[in-house]
Amino acid sequence: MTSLKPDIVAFERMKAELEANHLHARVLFHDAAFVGAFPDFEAATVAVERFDTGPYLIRQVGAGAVQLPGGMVFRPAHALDTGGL
Amino acid sequence: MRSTQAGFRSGVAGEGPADLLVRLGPTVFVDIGLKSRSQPGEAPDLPEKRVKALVDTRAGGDCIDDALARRLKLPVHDEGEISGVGGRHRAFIYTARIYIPSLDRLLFQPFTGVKLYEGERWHRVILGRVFLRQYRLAYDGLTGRCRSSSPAGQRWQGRLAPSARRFAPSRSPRQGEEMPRPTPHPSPVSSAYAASAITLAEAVIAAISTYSSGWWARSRMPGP
Repeated sequence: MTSLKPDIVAFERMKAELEANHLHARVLFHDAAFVGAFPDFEAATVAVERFDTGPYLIRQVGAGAVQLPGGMVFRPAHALDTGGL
Repeated sequence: MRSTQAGFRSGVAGEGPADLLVRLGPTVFVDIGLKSRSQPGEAPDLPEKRVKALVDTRAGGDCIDDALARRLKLPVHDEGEISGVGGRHRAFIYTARIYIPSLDRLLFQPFTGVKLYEGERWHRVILGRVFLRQYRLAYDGLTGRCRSSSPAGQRWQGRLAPSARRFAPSRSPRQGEEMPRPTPHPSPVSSAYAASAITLAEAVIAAISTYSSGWWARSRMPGP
């Protein structure tokens, strides 16, 4: 399994700026660098075209928990209380 | 209006179609992969075909079996944590294309990885309310008949036309008309159920004709 940690660290570093300028957008990070912000999952099209299977991080800025079946909840790493890292 | 059946045609081992629908839930077959091998203008050709997908109104997002996602080498593009009555564990988000042939709909989106195979679940994909946002789901566990209403609110009632895979108001299936049987998918749960799945409708997903041309154009674009 490829590691997303460098990209997640880069996201966390830019988090405040991203929330100010790209709230709800999908942002793409690769090699610990910000690639771009996209209004939808078009970010994945760009990611697959440019970086194939990665690793790369695609994350919706400001996204919260997602309800799953069976009463389970998925929380994105950046929404965890611990900071996700 | 495009529609598909997601119920059960017949019973298995003493269970009727309605029993199977209660126990297994509305199910559609989907194809899964990252890149389509088809030519532009053709239907998407994804490597893993006829995977059973549960249509689950309790799920907010869409999910894919972790083991299947790894086998297909789907890219992980984010991670997080799943918590519930069983505690909490790390989870991954995969990028995948999922094609639903009966709806001629291609999804290219994130799927949360969940342990469906390990949990001996019958399905390998869960399509939740995000998916259903484009559709109207009519569920009739009693009779196998379906009922829906048009986007304009006009009501109608009738059975499905299995051969056309479309709604046919006031039309009954022709006698002897039979849908092809699905191919059983390897599963720790008895594959006998697969033989009866997904033909005549206890449940129906009816596409509301709100596909925007923009969405349609995007969804028909060939894979990278």
